Amino acid sequence: MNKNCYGEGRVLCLPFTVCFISWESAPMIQNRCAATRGTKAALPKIFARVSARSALLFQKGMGISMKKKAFHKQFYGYLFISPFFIIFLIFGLYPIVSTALLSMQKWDGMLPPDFNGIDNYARLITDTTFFRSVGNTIRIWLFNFIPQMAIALLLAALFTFNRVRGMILFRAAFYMPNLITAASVGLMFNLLFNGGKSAVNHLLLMTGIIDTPIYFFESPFFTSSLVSYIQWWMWFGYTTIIVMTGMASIDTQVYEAAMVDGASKRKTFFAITLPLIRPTLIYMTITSIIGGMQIFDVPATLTNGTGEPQKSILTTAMYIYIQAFRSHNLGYASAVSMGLFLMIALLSMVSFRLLRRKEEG
Amino acid sequence: MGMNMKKWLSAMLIGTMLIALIGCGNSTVNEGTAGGDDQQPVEQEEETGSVEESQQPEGSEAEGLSGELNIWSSGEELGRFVSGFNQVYPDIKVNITVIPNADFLAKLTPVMSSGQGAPDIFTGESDYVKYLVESPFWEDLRGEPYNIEQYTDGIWPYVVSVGTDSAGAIKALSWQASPGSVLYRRDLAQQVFGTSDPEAVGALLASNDKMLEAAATLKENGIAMFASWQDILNMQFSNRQTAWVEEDKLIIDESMLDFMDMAKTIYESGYDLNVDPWSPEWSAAVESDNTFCYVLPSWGYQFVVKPAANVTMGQWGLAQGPVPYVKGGTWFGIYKDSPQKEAAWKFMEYVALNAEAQQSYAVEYGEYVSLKEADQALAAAEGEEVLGGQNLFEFYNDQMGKIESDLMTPYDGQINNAFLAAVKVYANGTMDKDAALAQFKNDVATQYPDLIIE
Repeated sequence: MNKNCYGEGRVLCLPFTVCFISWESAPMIQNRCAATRGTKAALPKIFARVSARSALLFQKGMGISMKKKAFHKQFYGYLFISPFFIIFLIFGLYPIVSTALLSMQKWDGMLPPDFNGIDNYARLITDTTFFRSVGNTIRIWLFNFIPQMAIALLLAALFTFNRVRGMILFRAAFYMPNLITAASVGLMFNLLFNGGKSAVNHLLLMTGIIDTPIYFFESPFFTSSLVSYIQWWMWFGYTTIIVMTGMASIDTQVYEAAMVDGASKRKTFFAITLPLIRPTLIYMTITSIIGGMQIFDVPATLTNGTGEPQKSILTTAMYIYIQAFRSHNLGYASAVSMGLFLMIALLSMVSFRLLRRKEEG
Repeated sequence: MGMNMKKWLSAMLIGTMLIALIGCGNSTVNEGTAGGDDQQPVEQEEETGSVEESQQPEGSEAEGLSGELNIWSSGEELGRFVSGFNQVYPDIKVNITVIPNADFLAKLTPVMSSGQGAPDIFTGESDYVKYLVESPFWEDLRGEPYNIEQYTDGIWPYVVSVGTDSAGAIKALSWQASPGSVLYRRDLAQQVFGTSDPEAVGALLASNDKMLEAAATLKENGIAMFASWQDILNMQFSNRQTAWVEEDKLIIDESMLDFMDMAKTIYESGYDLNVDPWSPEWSAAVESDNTFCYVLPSWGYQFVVKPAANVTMGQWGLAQGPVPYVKGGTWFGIYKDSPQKEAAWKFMEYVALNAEAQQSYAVEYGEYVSLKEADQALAAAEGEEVLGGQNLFEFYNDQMGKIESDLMTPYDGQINNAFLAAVKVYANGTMDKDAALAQFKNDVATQYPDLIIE
């Protein structure tokens, strides 16, 4: 939030800065000593020292022997892939390990934590609210994912196999909702439906479809469906585009062969297109599960973070947030996170197996 | 050539990454100083800071006191004191970081536990202020050099009571207090009840039953009494005998059970607009011709009624409902490991104990303040135009005098939310009373597993 964060940022940058400068200046020193001296003077002292030292190392290493050159190529390779691993270790692996450790502690986030073994997990498997949140999450995901895939396949097939006038425009329009941040979408739908004088009620009353306003957000079924719909609306354009790329990559010769054999359009679609885009479908399914199981922003902004009515759209991610930052049970929230992690892993594996088996069979 | 290209490409890649990382660092800095309008002059000071430090003018009022205070606040209000504070202590630079209330604890928690990047002063809103007061991160202000106890007589007792922990340590103060009222429409009162006088209207609202009677009368005249029944909860929390939690046990006060029925009556009889507080229609009811009152404390007048009242200018009045109440407010305290406690205290002193500063603040922003002296001085001044000349300080002073202590617990924010959800499902007929209460108890148990719930 203040200077300290800046400090942390700088510390993070440092390894890269050093890599960059030492690696960049080494050959220069080797080849054009005179020019380097000028550069060195211009560089800050520390970096100059670092680069000078690494220059020495490089000079030693840059022998004529091919073997050593090969080593160097390898070294560069590791250097170039290192940023990902460094970032992954800091921002990926460390939080996971730390969450796992935290899930075995009782901690309010401020006072020193107490180790409490499997207490949190014991509580987790008897926590009805947790299972309800998992049920909600899966329901919201299913009612979004199935129509999303169906519509995406339909639209993609339409766009790929037919000449649709204004196709680019349609594609852009379908993709558009994906560009709006989820929080704004949540708030927008809140304004549309919340209360007796909401925009939708106003419209319905004006056109005489209803006589008394409908309180949409009092209905768990409506609220949950609305979230699924919003998710569908936001993501079907993206899915369509990905499926289209999958379809476009199919060799036209296969279609020609099918045509020669007299296959109908429908038959072609089910016997050729679908099986051949299976990798795309697997990818879409798994990324959708991972994203869908973590859904937070739309239901949170739609209901002010509560998941009401009657916790019908309280998702697991929201439950984690509430446990951690509203009720100060960080240890338990970590246990819930681990539960969610297992759930996602399991679901991904099952769907992967299911889709793969079809391919083999 | 190929080699060169590769070199440039990789240089660019790494460069981009660097920029991205540095970018991150920079943006957090900006966030840190984006405190509001008051930052402008302060920031300029920073540029010349080093010069001033080396040749500091001697004998200024702020002898030896210089430094930089980092303050985390959930609202803009503290920033409004900075320019006045800097006139007295020009060498103390105040950085205010405003963090939205919803994220405040989530941001505060990690810095408190690690001790890194912690602010010198931070605020706590009424929903969780007791949680912070009971945790060991605010300095106890009773000892040296604060000696707060010599000043507490001048502060409204409720404000001190909230800032005091269960062991009696005074840890947080406030510049404001938020006493409650029933904010009613004078013209509608005149039309229906034949009087617009606050005392007379107050008499008509002196108990929950009387409020429902008045609501029925208003309904006959086509007027909804309340904008939202949920507002009444602000007051009902003060109508309790006991707090939500006593000795780690959840207690549901009798009055809370009664309120559930009251809410159901209001919902079923159409005594309110059936909207959620802060929804657009709720706010719009300020200028309506069919909504009688809001049950809101001082901030409700300041943020809801006053800014919106144009047509209804002069048509509002403040009356006491069944009980005097206080709801909401923001407290602040000094971080126990702050390296600048002295400067932090000077700021706190200026904001929470300087009657002059509070008085000018109250005049400028129309906010009710925490020092008796300031409020009493303002009670003698002219009344509010929106309120038809009624002096809100006079009204609130009377209310504050009736409230000695608070019924707050560290669990209030979440328990209040759970209770509201339970009342909602009971009022709209989704659940019967027992089921709603069972849901409420279950919610509390889920969120606070250590509490005893019967």
